[in-house]
Amino acid sequence: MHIPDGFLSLPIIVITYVFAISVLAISFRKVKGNVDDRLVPLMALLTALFFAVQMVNYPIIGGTTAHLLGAPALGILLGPWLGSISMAIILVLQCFLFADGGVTALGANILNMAIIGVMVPYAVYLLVSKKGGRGAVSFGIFFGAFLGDVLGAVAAGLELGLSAPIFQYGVSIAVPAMGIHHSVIGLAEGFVTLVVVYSTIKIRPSILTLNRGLSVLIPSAGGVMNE
Amino acid sequence: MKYAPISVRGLLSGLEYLLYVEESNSHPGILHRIDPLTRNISLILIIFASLLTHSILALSLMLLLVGALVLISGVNIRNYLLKTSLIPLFSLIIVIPIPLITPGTFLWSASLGSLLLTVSYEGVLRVAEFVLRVWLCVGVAVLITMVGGINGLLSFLGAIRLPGLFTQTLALTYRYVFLSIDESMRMLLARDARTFKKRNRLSLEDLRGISGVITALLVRVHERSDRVYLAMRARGFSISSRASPCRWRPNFSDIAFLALLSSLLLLILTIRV
Repeated sequence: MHIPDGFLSLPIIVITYVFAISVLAISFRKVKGNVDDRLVPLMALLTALFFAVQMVNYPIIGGTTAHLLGAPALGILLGPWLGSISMAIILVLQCFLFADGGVTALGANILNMAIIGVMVPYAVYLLVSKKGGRGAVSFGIFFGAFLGDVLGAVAAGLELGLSAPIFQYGVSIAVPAMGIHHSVIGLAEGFVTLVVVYSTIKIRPSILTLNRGLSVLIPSAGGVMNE
Repeated sequence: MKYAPISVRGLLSGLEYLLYVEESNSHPGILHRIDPLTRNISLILIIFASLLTHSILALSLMLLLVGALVLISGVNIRNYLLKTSLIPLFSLIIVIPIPLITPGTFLWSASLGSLLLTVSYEGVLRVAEFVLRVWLCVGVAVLITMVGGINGLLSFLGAIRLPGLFTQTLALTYRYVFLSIDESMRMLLARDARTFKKRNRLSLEDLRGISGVITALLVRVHERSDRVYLAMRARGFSISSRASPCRWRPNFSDIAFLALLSSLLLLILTIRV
């Protein structure tokens, strides 16, 4: 889903940069004074894990690349604000170390993967997990991850399609190309997110308590583990 | 049992090799002597300039300019070419159908059963322009990190006033990627030591065991992160502390570099062929 340099037109670059910087600024403001220092090494650990996961990708004709995001797991484990910051870190590192995702496309990549990819799954999870019960929580995690993946890919397709003629395909090709591939990958993303969230809670329940903003999720998550 | 033509250890080694940027600093070149902030801004200017032209000649000249900068920077050319080759290749795959669907001057045709494939000159030009631009941008981004290293990147991010939480976590993440790779290697070595049949390639059985390995890896690295946190606290770590930012103190040679590069880019952008 990483958009490299040379794929986007100047207006799309400017719009996505403004949007991404605004949301990230809100994220930093929300977490300011609300993050335990202890969370930083853990956050870096999870970020490093999903950094490696994203390296396995393949090119899509008519779009960019397809891969697992890891963003839903970051959003659910760290919360939407820290999750989006973590994802932005992955994107900055990949941009400068591998040029996987470009400097000019950083705004678009942050919007697609660090904002839509993190916040949609978190919102769906919150909404569905309110009903409680093992099934609802599992469905919330799975469906949230799936939807976050697909919507992020569709947003990438829109940005690419609207960048024609800099990008070689229009919206009618780029959006379906990205959406179809990621609706398949979204299923895997849902499964991986379920495994990662549940494994993490099982092996380190303290992980969730480190982020005070996530304390509302602990009863439902704990309930799942106790059932 | 069927084997995939790759090994887990090979993949991890490859990732570690691609990630490692520090060694490039052992042979500092002319580019290293330029103020980091001026250097990075100048290089990013090339990326933005490439978006303002559709001329293949102009893009080729910019690519030559980047090539010259690579030569005077003293970075390892083999490493540089390796790091910059994958993304343009992906870009080429993405636009492969363009010469076939773009109308224009006939260049070449081939029949595939009942299907006639016609390649147009305009389509080939569009592909060439697209791949050249991507290659140019990738080349510049990789050059930024190979010249400045991870510390240069952190200083640059600090200089553009990114919060301490971002730069501190980014620095730790970079180290943890290597830590995770080393830990995975140790786990693979321990597994091989306990296994009678030595496997060098990835098998279906290996794939089934990967989820268990990842969980164990998560536990090990998390335990180590706890120890790292305590060590950091003992040394006075706080997330509010910023990475030492590079303040912009350009001297004559920095200004001359920026002016020369900007002039060359402006000159190249006037080309309409």
